Amino acid sequence: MITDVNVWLSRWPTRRLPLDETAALVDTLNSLQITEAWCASLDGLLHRDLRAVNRRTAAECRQYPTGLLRPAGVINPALPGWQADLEDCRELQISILRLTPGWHSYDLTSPEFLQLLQAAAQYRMLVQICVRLEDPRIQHTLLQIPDVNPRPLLAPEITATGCSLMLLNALASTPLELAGQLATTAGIGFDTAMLEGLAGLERLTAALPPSRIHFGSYSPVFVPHAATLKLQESELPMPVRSAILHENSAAILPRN
Amino acid sequence: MIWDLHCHLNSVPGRTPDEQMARLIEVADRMHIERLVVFMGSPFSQDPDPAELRRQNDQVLQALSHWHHRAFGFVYLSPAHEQASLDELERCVASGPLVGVKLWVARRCTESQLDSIIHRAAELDAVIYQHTWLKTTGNLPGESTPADLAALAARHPKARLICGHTGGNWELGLRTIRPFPNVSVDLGGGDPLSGIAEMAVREVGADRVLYGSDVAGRSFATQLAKVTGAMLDEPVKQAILGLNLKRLLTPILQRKGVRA
Repeated sequence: MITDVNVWLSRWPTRRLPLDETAALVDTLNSLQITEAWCASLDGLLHRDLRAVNRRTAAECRQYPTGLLRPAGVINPALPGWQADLEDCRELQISILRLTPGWHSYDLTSPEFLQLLQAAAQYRMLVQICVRLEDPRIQHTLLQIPDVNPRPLLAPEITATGCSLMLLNALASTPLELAGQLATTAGIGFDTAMLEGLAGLERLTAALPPSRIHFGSYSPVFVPHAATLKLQESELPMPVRSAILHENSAAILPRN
Repeated sequence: MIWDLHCHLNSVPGRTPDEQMARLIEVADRMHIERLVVFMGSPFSQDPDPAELRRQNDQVLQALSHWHHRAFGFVYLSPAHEQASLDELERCVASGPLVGVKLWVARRCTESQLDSIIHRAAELDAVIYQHTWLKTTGNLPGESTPADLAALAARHPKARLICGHTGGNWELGLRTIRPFPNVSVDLGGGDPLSGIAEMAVREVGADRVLYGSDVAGRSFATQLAKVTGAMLDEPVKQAILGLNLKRLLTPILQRKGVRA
């Protein structure tokens, strides 16, 4: 079993992707033996009507009755009335919130972000925070989005919320020492999509508790096969491999 | 058959080039990569003086010394030191086992000091790898763009040139080097973005597209996936993964009597 915690639907803003039709994406995920994919919509990066975005995501996921696609709602706490978007996610039985602070122009010290974490904790929702969606060196000149600094997540007022947190695409820009601190001290999870380097998973499991590492592909923006090939490049003990592939995510968010 | 165009010793665990090379091969074996091309030593030096160039090339020569059946090497040169680079080219390629040239970011490849180096490398049938980037965030002062490489390719139509990283901003890099048949593109060194290999094949043709990883900064896995996960026919993937590089290297390998 493989749970991919970092999958997206719909269109990337600056190019068409080979798998940006959901049916084609599902075929590829199936071929890679991915049994569950946590999906948010790329529409949420620039659209302001996030209730419509999240409703489309939920409806799209329901199109695939095997339960492969699990919806994640995009919330922007910098927008007025974001609380209604959150309530809508709840009504849609969405239990994963995906935040893109860089694209939505707030940082992790903002009061609204803290309020969002408090509400998510109350509803037992997982909050995924995208640290990066694109290498700044190749961004469109009109879409230069800075990486998110995750260090504020170590603040006591954040950890006091008790909110379950996961960082997506963090490993390209977050030093391993800080990642280790966030994982160990604040219990924050990391996905593997932007992990690089020779036998990267061997290095990562030496730096972070394996219980905080989750399989993530960032499909379809990234080629899905990149994530699975990383498992071939590193030699991992079977229990660690199983934890990363499925058990860690199942512990956070069991299937209903 | 997989041949990896773009490997570095830097950041590979190991106390010596021999240990680093053994580790590279160990991990390459897991990915079924038959041959590696290695260039530059440790630590990376963006603007090396002649002594540092020689030291870095010595590391590569040492790393290859037990692995000639699995790896090739390119000599690291700099147009900032024209005569020293010509000397290194003679030592490592004309009289030594290396089969190509690596040019990085000391000076842009538009500089005229490079002409004598390219001319001699072409005489030797050496493949010339020029790092290129077109960074939205701004290039280093000596960092070549794909347009710089296009100008070099126009001046040296007989040289076998490789556009490193496909220009980084690959959609722009591919458009820029498209008219120059003596320029191939290296897919390595960027995130495994969907569509890069497909666009490269469409724009410059399958025979000008090369798999390279830029390991150890990157992983073999992410860079291989750009090809193996692409919406391309299997023969095209095979060409990109190794056959194209083998064809590019064949003249110099034959000149050296190397069977591969």
